Amino acid sequence: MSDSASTLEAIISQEYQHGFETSVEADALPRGLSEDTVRMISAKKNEPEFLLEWRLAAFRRWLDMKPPEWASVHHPPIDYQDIIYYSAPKSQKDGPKSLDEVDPELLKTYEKLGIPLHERAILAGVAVDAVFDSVSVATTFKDKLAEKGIIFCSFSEAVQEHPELVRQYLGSVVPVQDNFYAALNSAVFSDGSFVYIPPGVRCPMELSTYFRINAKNTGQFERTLIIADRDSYVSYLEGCTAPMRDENQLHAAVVELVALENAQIKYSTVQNWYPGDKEGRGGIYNFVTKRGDCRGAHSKISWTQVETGSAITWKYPSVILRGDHSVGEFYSVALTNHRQQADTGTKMIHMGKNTRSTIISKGISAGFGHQAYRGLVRIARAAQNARNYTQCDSLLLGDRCAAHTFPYIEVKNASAKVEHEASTSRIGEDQLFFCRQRGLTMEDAVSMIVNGFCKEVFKELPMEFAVEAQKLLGVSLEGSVG
Amino acid sequence: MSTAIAHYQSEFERLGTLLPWQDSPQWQEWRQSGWAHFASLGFPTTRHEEWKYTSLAALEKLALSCAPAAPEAPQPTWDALKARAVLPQARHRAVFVDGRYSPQLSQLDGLPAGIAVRPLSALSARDSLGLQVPLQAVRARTPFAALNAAFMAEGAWITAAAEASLDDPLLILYVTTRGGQAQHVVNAYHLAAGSRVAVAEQYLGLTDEAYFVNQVAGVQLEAGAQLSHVKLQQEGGRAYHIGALQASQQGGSRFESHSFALSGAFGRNDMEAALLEPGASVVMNGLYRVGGREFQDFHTCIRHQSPDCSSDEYFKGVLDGSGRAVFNGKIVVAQDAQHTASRQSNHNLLLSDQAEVDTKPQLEIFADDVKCSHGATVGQLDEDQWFYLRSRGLDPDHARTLLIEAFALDLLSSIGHAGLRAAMDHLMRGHAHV
Amino acid sequence: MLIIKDLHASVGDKPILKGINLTVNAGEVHAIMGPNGSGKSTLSNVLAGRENVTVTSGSIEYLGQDLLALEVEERARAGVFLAFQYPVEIPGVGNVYLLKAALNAQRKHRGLPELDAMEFLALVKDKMKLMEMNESMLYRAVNEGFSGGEKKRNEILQMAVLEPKLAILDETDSGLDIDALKIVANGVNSLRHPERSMILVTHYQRLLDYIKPDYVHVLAAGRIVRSGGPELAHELEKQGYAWIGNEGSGQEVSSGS
Repeated sequence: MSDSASTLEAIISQEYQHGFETSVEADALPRGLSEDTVRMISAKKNEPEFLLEWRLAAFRRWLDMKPPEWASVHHPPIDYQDIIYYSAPKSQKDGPKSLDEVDPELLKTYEKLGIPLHERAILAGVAVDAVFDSVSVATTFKDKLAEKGIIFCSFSEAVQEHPELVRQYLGSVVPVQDNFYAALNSAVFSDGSFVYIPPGVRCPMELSTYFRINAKNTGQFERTLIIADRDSYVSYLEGCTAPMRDENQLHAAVVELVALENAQIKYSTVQNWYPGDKEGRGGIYNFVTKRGDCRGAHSKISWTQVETGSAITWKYPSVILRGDHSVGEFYSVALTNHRQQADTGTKMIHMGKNTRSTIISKGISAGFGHQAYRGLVRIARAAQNARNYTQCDSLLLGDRCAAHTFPYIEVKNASAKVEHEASTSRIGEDQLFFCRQRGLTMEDAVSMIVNGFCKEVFKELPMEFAVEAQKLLGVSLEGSVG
Repeated sequence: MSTAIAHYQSEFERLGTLLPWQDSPQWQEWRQSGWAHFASLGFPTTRHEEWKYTSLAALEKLALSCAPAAPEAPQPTWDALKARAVLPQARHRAVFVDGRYSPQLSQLDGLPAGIAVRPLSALSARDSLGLQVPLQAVRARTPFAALNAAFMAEGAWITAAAEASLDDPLLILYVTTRGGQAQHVVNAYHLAAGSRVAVAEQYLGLTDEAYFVNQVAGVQLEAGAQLSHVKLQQEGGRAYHIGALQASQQGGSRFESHSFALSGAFGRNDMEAALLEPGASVVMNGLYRVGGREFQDFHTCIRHQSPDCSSDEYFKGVLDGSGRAVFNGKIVVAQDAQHTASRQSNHNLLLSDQAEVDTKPQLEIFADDVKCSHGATVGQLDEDQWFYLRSRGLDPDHARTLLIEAFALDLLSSIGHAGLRAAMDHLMRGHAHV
Repeated sequence: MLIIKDLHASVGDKPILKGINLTVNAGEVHAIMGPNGSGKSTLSNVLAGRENVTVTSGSIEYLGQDLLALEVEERARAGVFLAFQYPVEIPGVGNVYLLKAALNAQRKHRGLPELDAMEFLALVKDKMKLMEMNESMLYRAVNEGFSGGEKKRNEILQMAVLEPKLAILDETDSGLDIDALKIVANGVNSLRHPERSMILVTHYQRLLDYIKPDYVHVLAAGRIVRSGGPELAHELEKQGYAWIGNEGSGQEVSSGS
C-alpha cells in the first residue's frame, strides 16, 4: 500500500503542460469596472445601441446581486475592481482579414497547444474559432460553411453582420439577471463564438472554439450563442487553456444554445484551464453558465464535458425541455486533484410532453480535491410522460479528498418516471493488484481503471476529443494514485 | 419581532413560573438559551435551504396556547383508545392526553429490572438533570427543537441499566383531543452498555381542529446498546407535527428507527444519527403517505464520524390527491471514517397529477475507503402488475389498493423486532387478509 | 363460444393483426402457431383486453356478447383467462391472497357466496396437488423469486382455481424443461371439459405432443395463413416456418407482450 501510495503520489503531481505565456502586445482597458467600462467595451467593438443598452441593464442588475454562496467551494472574495475587463492582442486591432494576417506569435501559440489554425493543416472536418484573451483571433473554414448558409464567426462579427439574429436570441436562454456571473458576463463580455445553422442543414464538420487566457490580471468573459434552426444538426467542441500564474484569474462565460423544431445540438467541452499548483496557488476560477433551450418539438441538446482544469469550477450545463418529445443529455467527467474544487452538474427542466433526459456524471477526486455533483431534475405539472435517468458515481483516490452529491428532484406530474442512482467508492485495491500482477505499471493500472470508470462519458465525445480527454485525464492524475 | 415570535414570547413569559424545575439554575439556563436561540432564528422561510420546499406560513398565523391540559380535563377511556393503539396489548404504556401525562390510562408497573420509564412531570428537579444528556445535542438542531427546549414540560424519560432489556415493546401514546394548543413534548432515551429496548411512539389526533405537536427525541446509546424504535404519526386533519430526533451512538450500538407519517395536515421531521465509535450501526427507515392537501417532510442526516460503521436508510412515499412530500436524506462520512458502508434509497409512488414530491438524496464524503450508494425514484404503479391483477378478475380499485399497500408494506420486513413488526403489519393492513 | 371476425389491431402506430378470422366452439382446443413476430402474443393480449393494443377494425363475439366492449376484469369474471407468457412478479402481494380475491370476485359476479378461508384453502390445496406444487408457494408473493417453471405452474394453478370458460395459454411451454412441461400439460389436460375452450399459442409443436389440439392454425404477418387438424403441426415441425414465407412476410414485429 505505501509503495503504491508513493507511486500514486508521483502520478498525481505532474505539471500542467500548457502553462507557457505568449508575449504579444495587448490593447487593454485599465483595471476596474463601472458603467464607463461597459460603455468603453461596447464602443471598442462598435456595437449597435441595443446591445449597449442591454449591457448597461445587465450591469445595473449585477450591482444589486451577490455571488452565490450555496456552492460547496471556498475562495477568498474576488475584488471585481482589480480585474482587467478587456484585453486584445494589439496587432489584431482591426481584426484579421485572413489567417495570413494573424500575428505569427499567436499562430505559434495555437500550434503549441496543438490547435491547428492553418486550414490546410487542419484535421479534416474541424472548423476552429480561436479566442485569445478577450477577442476572437481566427475562424477557419468560414467560406466553406457559408456555402451551406452556416454562420460560424466571432461574436463581435455576428453583432456587425447579423444583428437581427443576435438581438433575437441573445439572453433568451440565459437572461441577464439569471445569476451573478451571468449578469457580469452580460455587462462586459468581449467576444466569443456565434453559430447559426439554417433549416434542414446538417453541419458537415465539427465546429470548434479554442479559448486561451494569456494576459495577466485579465478576466475572460466570452459569450457563445448557437442556434440550430429546424431540422438541423451541429456538433460543437470547446477547449480551454491558460498560462501558469500565481494569482487567480476569473473566467465567467455564458453559453446559450437554442434548438428549434427537430434540431440537434451536441456540445462538447474539454476544459483544461490552469488548475493552480500543488499548494493551490493560482489557477482559473471557472464560473460558467451554460444552458440549452429545446425550444422546438423533437429537438435534442446534448452536453458532454471533461473538466480537468481550473482551480475552482462552478458550472451546470442545463437543458430546458420546452418542446414536446425533446431530449436533453448531460455526460460529465470531472477530475479534481491537489487543491482543486469543483461544484458541477446539470439542470434538466422538463416542460413539454414526452420529454426525456439522461444524466451520467463521473467524478474523480484525488489529493485534496473537493468535488460536488449538484443537479436538478424538475418535472413541471404539464410535462406528461417525462422520463429521467440519472447516474452519478464518484471515485476517490487518496484519503484527503472529498466527493459530495446534491441531487434535487422535483416532480409535479404523476406520469413521470425519474430514477437517480449514485455510488461512491475508492479505486479497488484488488483491481489494482490484478492489473499489476498482470504486469501493468501502477500508472497504467490506475489510468486504465479510471478510463474504464469514465468510458460511458468518453464514448459521447467526438473521436479527436476522446483521445485528448483520455490523455488529459492521465496527465491530470499523475501523482494522485494511492 | 414578528407576530409569531411575539406570541410565543408572551406565552413564555406567561408560563415561565408554571414550567417544571423552576428552582434549578441548570434548567433556567436551558430554557432561556432555548428561547434565545428560537427568537434569533425565528420561523424559517423557504429561502432557507433546509426549508426550501416547506412553508410554515400557515402555522405561523396560529396563536396557540403552550400550556398543558389542566389535570382535571376530561380524558378518553383506555377502551376507546385501544382500538386505535398500535400496541393495544402492550404490557407497559405511557399515555399522554393533550400534553399531560395520564396516570389512569398508563401502566408502568412491573417493568423488568434496570428499566425505568418515567413521565417528566414525575421527576424532581434533581432527578431531571440526567435528561440533559440525551437532549443536549438535539436542542439546537432546529428552531423548533430550541422552542421545545424553552417550553418542555412533559414527555417520557426512558433509561436502561447496563445489560437490562425491555423486549416486550413499550407504547408511548400522545393523544390530542382538542385544538388550539401547542404541545412541546420530549422523549429521552438513555441506554447503558449492552441494554436493549423496544418502543413505539404513537401520535394520535382525535380532533379535526388545528393544533401543533412540537416533539423532540434524544437518544443516547452506550456501547452495544440497542434501541428498536417506531414512530407513528396519525395526527388530525388540521394538525401540525414537527419532530426532531438526535441519536448519539457509541461503539457497537444499534439504532433501528422506523417512522410512519400516515396522516396530519403538516408534518416535518428532522432526524439525525451520529455514529461516534467503531461498529455502531443505524437503520433509518420511513414511510410517508399523503392525500388531500396533506404535507409531509423528512430531513434525515446520518453522520459517520468513526471507522467501521454502517448505515441503511430506506424511505418510501405514497402521494395522492393534492398531497406533497419532501425527502432530504443526507449521509456525511467524516475524514477518518474509513470502511464505512452506507446505503440509502427513496422511492416514491405518485398517484395523482396534483400531487408533488421533492427529493434530494445527498452524499457528503470526506473519506476514501467507503462504499456508499444512494438512489431515488419517482414513478407510478406498475402497469403490468395492474393488468395482471385485473386479468384475474380484481376490480381496478381493488387492484390499485393492493399494489399501493404492497409498495408500502415492503418497508415492514425491515423492522427487526418481531413484536413491533407484527403490530405495524396489523395496523397498516387495516382490512382482513387470508 | 368465440367468433373473431376480420380483426385488425395495432401496437403504437404499427399494425400487427391484419384480418384475423377464427371461430372456437365450446369444448374445442385450438392451437395457434407461428414464427416470432407473427402476432401471436398480440392476439392473446387483444382477447384479454390489454390497453396498449388498439383494435382498429373487426369484432370479437364471446358467448354472444361483444368482448371488446368489456374491461379487462369484466372479461376475467365472464370466464376469459389468459395464462401469461411472462407472468408478472408482484412483491408484497401474497399468492394466496390474489387467488382468493380473484376467485371471490368471480363468484360474486356469478351470484355465488364468497368462500371463507377454510373452504378456500381446502380447494386450493387440492388443485396444488394436481400441479405438484409445494404449499409454501401459496404464502410467497405473487411470482416473486419463482423459477420459470414455477411461474408457469402457478398460472395453471390459477386457471384450475378460477375454472374459466375460455383459456388462452400464451407460450405456456416456453422456458420449461421436459418434466415441468409434462406437469403443466397434465394440469391443462385435466381441465379439458365440454364447456371449456382453449387456445394454445405456441411457437413449437412440442407442447402439442402433450396437449392434443382439435385444430391447428398458422399465423404469419398478422393473418391466419393455414388451418387444419393436428397433422398440420407435424408438417410445420418437419418443414419449419420458411415455407409459409410466401403467404405472409414473416417480418419481425414487436408483439407488445
